[in-house]
Amino acid sequence: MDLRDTPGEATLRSEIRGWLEANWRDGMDPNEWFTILADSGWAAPLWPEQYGGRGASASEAIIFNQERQKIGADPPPRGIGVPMAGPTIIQHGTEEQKERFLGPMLRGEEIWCQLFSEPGAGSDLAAIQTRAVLNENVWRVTGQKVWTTHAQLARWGILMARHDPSLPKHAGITYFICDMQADGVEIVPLKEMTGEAIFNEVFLSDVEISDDLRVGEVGEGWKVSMTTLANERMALGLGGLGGSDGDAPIDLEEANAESSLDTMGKFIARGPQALVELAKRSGMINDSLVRDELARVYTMYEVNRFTGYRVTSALMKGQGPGVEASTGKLAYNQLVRAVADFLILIAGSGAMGAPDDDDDSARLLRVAERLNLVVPATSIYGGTDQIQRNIISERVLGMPKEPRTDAELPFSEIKKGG
Amino acid sequence: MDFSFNDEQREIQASAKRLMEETATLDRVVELAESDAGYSPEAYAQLADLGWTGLHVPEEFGGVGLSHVELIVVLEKMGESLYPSPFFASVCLAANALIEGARSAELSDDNAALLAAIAAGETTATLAYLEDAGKYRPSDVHLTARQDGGDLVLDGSKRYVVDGHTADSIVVVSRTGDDEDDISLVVVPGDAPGLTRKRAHAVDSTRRIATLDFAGVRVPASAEIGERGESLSTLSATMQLGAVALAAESLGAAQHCFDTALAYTKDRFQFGRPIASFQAVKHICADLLMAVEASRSAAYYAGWVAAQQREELPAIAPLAKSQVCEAFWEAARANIQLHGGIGFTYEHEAHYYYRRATSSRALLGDTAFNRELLLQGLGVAPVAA
Repeated sequence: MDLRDTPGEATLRSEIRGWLEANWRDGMDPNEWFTILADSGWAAPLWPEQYGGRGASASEAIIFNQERQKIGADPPPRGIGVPMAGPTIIQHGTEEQKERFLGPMLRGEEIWCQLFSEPGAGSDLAAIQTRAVLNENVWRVTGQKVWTTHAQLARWGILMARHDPSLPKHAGITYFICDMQADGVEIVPLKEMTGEAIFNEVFLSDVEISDDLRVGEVGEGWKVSMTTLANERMALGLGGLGGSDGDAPIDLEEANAESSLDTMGKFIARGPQALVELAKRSGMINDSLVRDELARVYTMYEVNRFTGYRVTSALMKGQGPGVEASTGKLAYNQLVRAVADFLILIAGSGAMGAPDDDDDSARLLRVAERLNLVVPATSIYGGTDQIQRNIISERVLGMPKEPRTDAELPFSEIKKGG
Repeated sequence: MDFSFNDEQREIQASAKRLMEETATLDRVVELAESDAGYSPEAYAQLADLGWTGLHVPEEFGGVGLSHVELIVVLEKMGESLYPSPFFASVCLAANALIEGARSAELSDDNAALLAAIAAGETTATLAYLEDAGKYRPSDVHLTARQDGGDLVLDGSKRYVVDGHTADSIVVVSRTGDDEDDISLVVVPGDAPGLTRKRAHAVDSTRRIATLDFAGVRVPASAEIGERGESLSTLSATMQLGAVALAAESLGAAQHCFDTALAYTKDRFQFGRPIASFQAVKHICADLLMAVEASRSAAYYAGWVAAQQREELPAIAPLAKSQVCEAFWEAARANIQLHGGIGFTYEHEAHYYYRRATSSRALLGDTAFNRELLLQGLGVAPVAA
């Protein structure tokens, strides 16, 4: 057990550091940086070389990410393209699809969104009702999708639709790539409980999708979507495992100018020191309850960081992440809830409504208010905490599934509601 | 980076597992718990033969010279079976006081010999800190160590001393002056004239505690560890290393509670199906897995920090202690709950773990106390008004 670099890792680290220093400049044009990352394969180092990656080992990818953060270089293009849509297309897509989509995805030229959830299909994702009807190599798709991030910016969407309601529900699903600029795609911002509109509703009315944009076989959509969702859980889980942006204090003014979700992400990425600083400045650092809670939240941050070392260590040795990766998303949610609760604790009466004064204590109250309002989202999106617990207990602990009444019935005969 | 045990550590782990399976079956643990001594000297000699009593003791003091990482490997396995033995008090408290003391001042011949004897498993020892207030605070140490010629004379009493009634030697936390940090560590033989030892009631009969009264107990000045009145930092380091050890032991116990409970939910049928198929049961188990795995991360990281003598130990030790002991407590309670009625019987093992969890949560300071230590270890002191 030794958390320091092995000699091999140290060499790799200095090579990567050298590459970053030679290629990154503070304030450089993001598109220029994205192109450099894509051309060098560092936009998705784990992908095979022929698809624009480096075929790198997990150690290389991890060390690259650590060094990138240290030097302050921008991350690869954001969104669901590289982490979720890309691996799905690589695993299940046709060569033409890989040729067409992966390059622009890696260069950040085309943004992707996810058209999975529907008003009637949340935790029970296989209950989607959006219909896809094939007619001479063209599918016509009609339905409603919801909770779509970046839909208004996206060029392409990954889409699950039902091609045959007479089949049992998992068997009747097919997976597509949807052109977000096609006729019949209508995007409506969805105002969330925070008052912001981070997500969208997407209405699909007779949208034409050519059959060569189908991913996987007809009826294999559920299986294909598992690849996407496993990658999503991994990305969400690893986000809480100490991918630290360093421990610089959080600029409250800047934080309040971002979306609530981004502010929340920043509080996790910066680590617990930022919270300690805020507690000191709140004037409540002598309060024994505040001290106990601060230590408790601090412990949660640190334990997640240590678990991150376990995951990293396993990945670096070429092993799959173990139990720790499955519990990552739930651990992340518990941490963000604890952070929001702590900020509300030190807000005191200010929790009734943050004043709009232009001073630090008012800015802290505004951050507390915003985080408290956004935090209920985390235990819902990407699979609710309850679904996560089902996944952990069934897949990790080998506990049997609840008996189901709908698995074998034709989808059209299943009771729907709500 | 490698956050896993190396081959040698895995071998130690495997042999610890074997030894526990052979010598610490539940029947045997219960038998020992009800015996006078509370442990088996023969079984302790087996540990010594394997070198475990001196695992992390430096070679210059007769130990094996490995690290706290090897030590936590063994402790985790002991925790799984609630192995009753003088190991924790002797090796994880008393020996650490001597090892840490030796960093600031050379040990006297007697104390060096004591450390070597603990490492060889030839003698047992413990640390006596708490008094009537029951708080691990230097200001609550009132037992005095008065200098009288070439001797030290101890007066006062100690409570909740782990294995205090059986230990051959006792490292006594003593007051030498009126300033809060005038603290000495004095080694007193268990049979010293003027020392009265009484086994006290313990909620956990697998870990004994005692009340000790010192009435003019006289020892030579060479019985002192370190410089006179200068041992507060040695005491703090000893407590931190003890916390790391207790975290590892509690991890093993928590894992055992979880494994037992999970296995039972798969075997127990109600309403025509295993209770493991009910979401209300599954979610408890998922939460336990989270708590136990988080604890594993904390306990192992703390072991590495202790082994490397990293500066973060004063923060990480109480962090690990509070994290793991809380998880153990949660797992011990859930184990009873998931077993239902049978889990509440005396015959079932679950209550032994619940009792150990109760006791370990308080030992070396409760969770609130350790959280405060964490903040102090981070330098987040209360601000003067």
